[in-house]
Amino acid sequence: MFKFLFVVLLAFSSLHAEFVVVANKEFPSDKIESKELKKLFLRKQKFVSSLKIVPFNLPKSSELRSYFENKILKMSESSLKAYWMQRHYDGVRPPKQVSSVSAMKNYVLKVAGAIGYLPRNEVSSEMKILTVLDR
Amino acid sequence: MMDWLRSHLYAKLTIFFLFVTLLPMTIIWIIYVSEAKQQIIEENLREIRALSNQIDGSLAERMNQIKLDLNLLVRYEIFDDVLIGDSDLRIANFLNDKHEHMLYLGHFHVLNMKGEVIASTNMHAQGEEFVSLPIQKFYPLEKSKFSNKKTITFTEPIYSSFDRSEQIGFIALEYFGSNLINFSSTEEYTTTFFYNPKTSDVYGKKVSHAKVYEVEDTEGFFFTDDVIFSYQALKGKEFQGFYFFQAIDKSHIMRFYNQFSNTILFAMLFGLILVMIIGARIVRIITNPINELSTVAQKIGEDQDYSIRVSPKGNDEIAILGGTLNGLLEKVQTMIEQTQEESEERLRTLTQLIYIFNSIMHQSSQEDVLEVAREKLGEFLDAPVHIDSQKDDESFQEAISYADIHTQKKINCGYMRFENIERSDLEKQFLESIATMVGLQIERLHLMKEATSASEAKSMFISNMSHELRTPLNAILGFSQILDKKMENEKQKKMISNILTAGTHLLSLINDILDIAKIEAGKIDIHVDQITINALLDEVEVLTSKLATEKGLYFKVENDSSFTMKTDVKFLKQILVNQLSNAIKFTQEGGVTVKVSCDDSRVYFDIVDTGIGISEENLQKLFNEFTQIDNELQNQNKGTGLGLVLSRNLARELGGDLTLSSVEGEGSVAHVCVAKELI
Repeated sequence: MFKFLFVVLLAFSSLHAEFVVVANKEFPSDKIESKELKKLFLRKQKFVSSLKIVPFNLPKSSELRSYFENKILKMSESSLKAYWMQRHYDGVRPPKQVSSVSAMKNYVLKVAGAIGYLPRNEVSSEMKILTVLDR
Repeated sequence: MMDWLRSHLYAKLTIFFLFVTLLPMTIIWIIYVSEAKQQIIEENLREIRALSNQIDGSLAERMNQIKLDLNLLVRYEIFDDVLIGDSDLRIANFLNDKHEHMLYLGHFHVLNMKGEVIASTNMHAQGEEFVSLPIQKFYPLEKSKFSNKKTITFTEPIYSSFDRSEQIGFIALEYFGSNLINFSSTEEYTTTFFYNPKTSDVYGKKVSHAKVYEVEDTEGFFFTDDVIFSYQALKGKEFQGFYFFQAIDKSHIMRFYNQFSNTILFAMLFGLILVMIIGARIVRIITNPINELSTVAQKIGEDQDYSIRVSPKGNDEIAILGGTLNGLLEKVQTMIEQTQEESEERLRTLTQLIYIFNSIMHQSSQEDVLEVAREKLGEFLDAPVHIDSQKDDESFQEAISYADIHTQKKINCGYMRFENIERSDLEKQFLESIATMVGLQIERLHLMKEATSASEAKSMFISNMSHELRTPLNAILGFSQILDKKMENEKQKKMISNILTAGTHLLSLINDILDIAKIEAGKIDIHVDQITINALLDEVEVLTSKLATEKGLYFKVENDSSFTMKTDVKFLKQILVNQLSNAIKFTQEGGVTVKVSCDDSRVYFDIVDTGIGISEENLQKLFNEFTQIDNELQNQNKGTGLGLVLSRNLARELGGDLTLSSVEGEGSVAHVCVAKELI
C-alpha cells in the first residue's frame, strides 16, 4: 500500500521532476562537473578559482535532498553520516542545512560562494544554473 | 515633709541608701543615652554599606551574565538567517522562545548590517531601523526607541557560521530598567530602591518616598522625621548616575536602643525596689534598737515604771547604750524601792502611834491611861517602860502632869522611865511629847468628869424642879377652873381668868424647860408615826390660823406635793406651831405663809412672815437659851425665849435643822427641815 502510494507520488512529482544545481551569480563558471559538485558538497574542495564555496543542503526530510545525495554524491544516508562523523574530527563540518526551499533560494542569492539545488520552477534569474538534472 | 525627714532617722537613712544606689545607675543611663545612639547609627550605616556593595555585586554579576549569554547566543547557526532576512521566521521563533524563558524583562532585536531589525521579540520593532549601527557593547539607560520603557541596551555582533570572519549583523538586548525592582526589597522596617538624581528615575518595589533627594557624594545618609536614608552610588557602568537607597524606619533602628534603654530603666526600677526593701531592712536593723530604747525611756517617763528593761542585742554601740540605760534603771529602781520601804515603815510607825494614842484616849480612868501608855509604849519602843511614882535622877524619866481645873496648878501623877537610855535628841523630844500627851489625856479625863457631873446635876435639878413646880401649879389651875365656873361676879371672874392665863403660861414655860432639860440629858423619847403632809398641815393650820385671823393677818399654806412622812408627829407639829406662833406674834400687818417642798430624803418648811424682822447682829444671839430681842413688841409678847432653841433641838433630833434668815423691817423666814423618813 505504502509502496503503491510512494510510486504514485514519485510518478506525479516526476512530471515536474527537473531540478537544477544553482549558484550565486558570483560563481566563476557557468557549468560544473558532477565530480567537482560531489567534492564541493563533501567539503573536499573548498574553493573554485579564488571563491570560497558555501554549499547548502535542504532539510533531511526533503525528497530532493535524498535524491541529490543518491544521484550526485552516490552515498546512502548512513554512509554519509559515518563520513561526516569522520570529517568532524578533522574540523570539517557538513554543508549548512537550510530550513526550506525558499531559504535555499535566498541564501544562493545572498551568499557570494553559495551553491545549492532547487526545483526547476524555483530558479531565479539572479542566480546561475550550473546543471539540470532529471530523475 | 522636710521636718518629718529631719526628725526621722529612718527616713534619712532610706534616702541615703536610695541616693547611693541610684546615682551610679543614673550615670550609666546618661552615658548610655548619649553614646549608644551615635553608635547604633554608625553600626547601621556599616550594614547598609555592606548591603549596598552586595547589591552592586549582584547587579554586576547579572550584567556579566547577560553579556555572556549574548555572546553564547550569537554562536547559534540559526543567526545565519540574518542573511536571508529571517525569511523562515526561524530567528524570530528562536528569540521568542528565549524571551519566554528569560529571567528578567527585556527584548531581543536582531539587526542586519544595514541596521534594519530582522527579527524582534517586540512586534513594534519588526522591520524598523535601529537608531544607528551599534558600535558599543552597551548603551546606558535611556528610553527605548520601540517602547516607552527605559532600557539598557547590550549588543553583540553576529558572524556567519560558515565564515567566521564575516559579520552579518547584530543582536541587541534591551534590558528594562524596571528589572532593578527585583534587586530592591521591602521589609517591615526597611525599603531599598534605586534612584538617579539627574533623571529622577526611581526603581523599587514600594517607593513611598518618591521625591527628589539631594545626594552629595558617592555615599552618605540623611534623616527625615522618622526615616533614615542612606545611599551609595552604584559602581557598574551600566547604572551610572544611579544610587542605591535604603530607607529605614527610625523606630526600627532605635528598637534595640529603646529596648536596652527600657531594660536599664527596668533594672533601675528593680534595683530601686530591691534597695528599698534591703535598705528598709538595714535601716530597721539600725533604728529598731534606738526606737526600742526611746520607747522604753518614754514608757518609763509616762508610767514611772522603773522595772522595765531594754533587751539589747549584739554588742554594738547601741547595745552598750542599752546596757548603760539598764544599769541606770537598776539603780533608780533600787532607790525607789528603798524609798517606798522607808515610807511604808514610817506609815506603819505612824499607824502604830495613832493606835497607841487611840488606846490611851479610850481609857476612862487615870490608872488605865497610865497602864495602857506603859504597856503600848513598851511594845512600840521594843523596850520596857515603867511608871515610877518618884523621880529618879539616875535613869531617863519623863514627868507626867496635868493642870488642876480650878487652880490651874500643875499636878504630877508619875514618871515614865525608859530603859535603854541612849536615845537621840529627836527621840527624847518624841518621848517628852508622849508624856505631855498622856498628861493632857489625864487632864481631859478630869475635865470631862467635872463637866459631866455638873451638867447632869443641872439637868436633874431642872427636871426635878419642873416636876415639883408642876404639882402645885396643877392644883392652882384645877381650882381656878372650878372657881371660874362657879363665880358669878364679873370682876371676880376676871381675876380668876387672869390667874388661869398666868398659870397656863407658867405651865407651858415649865413644860418647855422640862423638854429642854430632857433633850440635854438625852432622855427624850422619839415615837415614829406615819402621816401625810396634807394631814399634818391641816392640823397645824387648825392650831394657828385662829391666832392670825384674830390679829387680822392672812394665813396661807403653799404645798403642791402629796407624800407620807415617817417622823415624830408630835414634835414636828410642836416645831411648826412654835414657829408659826412666833411669826404671827411679830407680825402686825400682812400675814404668814407656809411653803412646803421636799427632796428624796428631807422635807422643807419655810415659814415666811411680813413682820418686823431681825437684825443680822441679833440673829446670832437668838439661839442662846433664854434670849429675847429687845424691841417694842417685846413688851406685848411675853415669852420664855426657849421656843426657838427647843424647836431647833427638836428639829435636829428629827434628822434636820432650823435656821433663820431675815431682813430687818421686811420680815423673817424660818427654815425648818426634817428627815422625810426617820429611822
